[in-house]
Amino acid sequence: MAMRGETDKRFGPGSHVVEIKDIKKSFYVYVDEGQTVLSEKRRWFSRKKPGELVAIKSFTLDVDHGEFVALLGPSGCGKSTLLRILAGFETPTSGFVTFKGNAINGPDPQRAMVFQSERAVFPWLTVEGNIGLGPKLQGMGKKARKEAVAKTIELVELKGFERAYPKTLSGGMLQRVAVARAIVNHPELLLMDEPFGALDAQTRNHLQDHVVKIWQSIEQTIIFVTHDIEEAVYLANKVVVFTARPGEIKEVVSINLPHPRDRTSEEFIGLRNHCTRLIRDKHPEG
Amino acid sequence: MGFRAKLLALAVLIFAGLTINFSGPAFAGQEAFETSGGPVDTWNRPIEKEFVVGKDIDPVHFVIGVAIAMVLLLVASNTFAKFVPVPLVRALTSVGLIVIVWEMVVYYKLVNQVLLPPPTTVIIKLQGHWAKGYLQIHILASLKRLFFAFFLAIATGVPLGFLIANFRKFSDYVDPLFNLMRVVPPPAWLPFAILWFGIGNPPSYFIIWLGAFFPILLNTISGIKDTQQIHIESIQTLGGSRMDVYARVMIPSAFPTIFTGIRIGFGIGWICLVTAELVAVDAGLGWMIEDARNLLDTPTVLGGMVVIMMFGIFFDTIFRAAEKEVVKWQ
Repeated sequence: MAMRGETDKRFGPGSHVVEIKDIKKSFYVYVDEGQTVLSEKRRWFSRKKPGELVAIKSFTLDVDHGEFVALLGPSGCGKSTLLRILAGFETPTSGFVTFKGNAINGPDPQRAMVFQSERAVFPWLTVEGNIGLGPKLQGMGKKARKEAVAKTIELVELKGFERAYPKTLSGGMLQRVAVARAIVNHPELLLMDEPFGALDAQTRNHLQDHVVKIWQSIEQTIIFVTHDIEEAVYLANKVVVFTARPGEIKEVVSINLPHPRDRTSEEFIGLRNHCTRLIRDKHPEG
Repeated sequence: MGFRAKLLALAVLIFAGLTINFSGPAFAGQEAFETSGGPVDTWNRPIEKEFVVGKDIDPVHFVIGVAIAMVLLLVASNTFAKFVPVPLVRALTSVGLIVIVWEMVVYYKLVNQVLLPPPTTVIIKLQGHWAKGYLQIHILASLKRLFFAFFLAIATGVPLGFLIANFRKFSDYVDPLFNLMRVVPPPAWLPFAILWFGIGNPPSYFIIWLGAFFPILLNTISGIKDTQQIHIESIQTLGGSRMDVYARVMIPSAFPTIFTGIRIGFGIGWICLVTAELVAVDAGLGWMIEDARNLLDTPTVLGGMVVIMMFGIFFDTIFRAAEKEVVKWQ
């Protein structure tokens, strides 16, 4: 396993951006006699016993530069946990994860994250302030920062709302602020955790087109968590289908349709149905 | 205003609050009052002229005047509703009604005027005190005392609350101590405050600080603890360090709660101020009331209460307005 901050000699330049090797992630929880998970904390005078909740098991995946990977699976299958490991918020229980050949050690602006909830946008900063905070923390000068922010605001089509506070914006606009905040630093890897899950279908479709546009305009790798099959097939060129918990890879579906994709085309529907079947039959052995 | 400008403004305010206390005579009238050549009483205080009901302000004229003002205000609020704040007019009307009834009750000798001095007497008395500079001395003494202790409470309460909210071990040791102290009403500390800090300002600083400190401390703790995990993770993924988490996430997100604590603390400090001044000091609104009580000068007692009331409302209004400005993002 690579040591902290030290380049692992096994991975030279030009190799995968992200390598996930046989990781397992489990949480320590309290369970009752029937092994039902009750809570993460132990209460006084309860009969709960410590137990283990395995979120991800023997998971191996490589992601190349410029790929758009969708992690697709039923809720609770560990796909968000995997994303949090990649972001550096969690560490795997066993196995190892590398980013550009280095072991992941805590959060890093090179691995920007867009959270599921639009509440992640700082309510005490304006749209401009939210987007400009990343460059500010990177030590970018005032003038360069202003330019970068203006460019990003244009990219996510939020012109005219620079000075608005988040409370005055809609959910879809807030998620665009969150995306802008993540991409303004030009991260190598963009992690998105069901960013459009809470939005209505129309806004979601619109924002999906945005993400494709951003992905095409700035060369970067995107890992996108979703439980929406159509969203995964529409966006990604590699859909990783998870089993139910503990999360393992069921199948990696390559999607070679050119963007913009037609949701009504035969190939699209065929791939969507394929993914639907993968998710539906939970027990292929029995 | 940016975050740094706000911090700077707060620092300047605290500094001003701490230094104003050590400045010399604050207004021109003070020396004139101390060296006035007129007749003085045992405490070297100018002797007041006797007040006669009906001579300086005619009670009948006063009542009629207040009634006309009330009617005019009500009419104006109906006709020019856009320009006149209706709730304020209603509030003034109910106050005006009480003032009228109060004046009439004394005028018709239903109540002894020593037991309930009428508004006209209180007004004339206050005006007399103001003209001699006597009232200003006490108001200034009280305000200096209050602001010194209040800024001391902010300067201790906010950092301590921040530490308690963030550091588990520190909190486990220190929080219980503050909880024990918190349940004792500040005036109960008075005897020891005088024994420890002597006669003069320090014991009243201590009492006011005790009153203002705990709301500020508790609100800071709860504000910082309510910081959302998703905001902390957001700034980490943007490249924020530990200090950035504190300064750019915790403090701004807790600021409205902290500010409410400051407002409540100021109110309680104001209450404690008057209590603390009843003993061990030689100037201040509380002292003025206590001194007038000893002389059975009930109009001054009531006048002092009115002044305290007005300043209380004044500061509360200012703090509420500032609060609205502070939380405009909410």
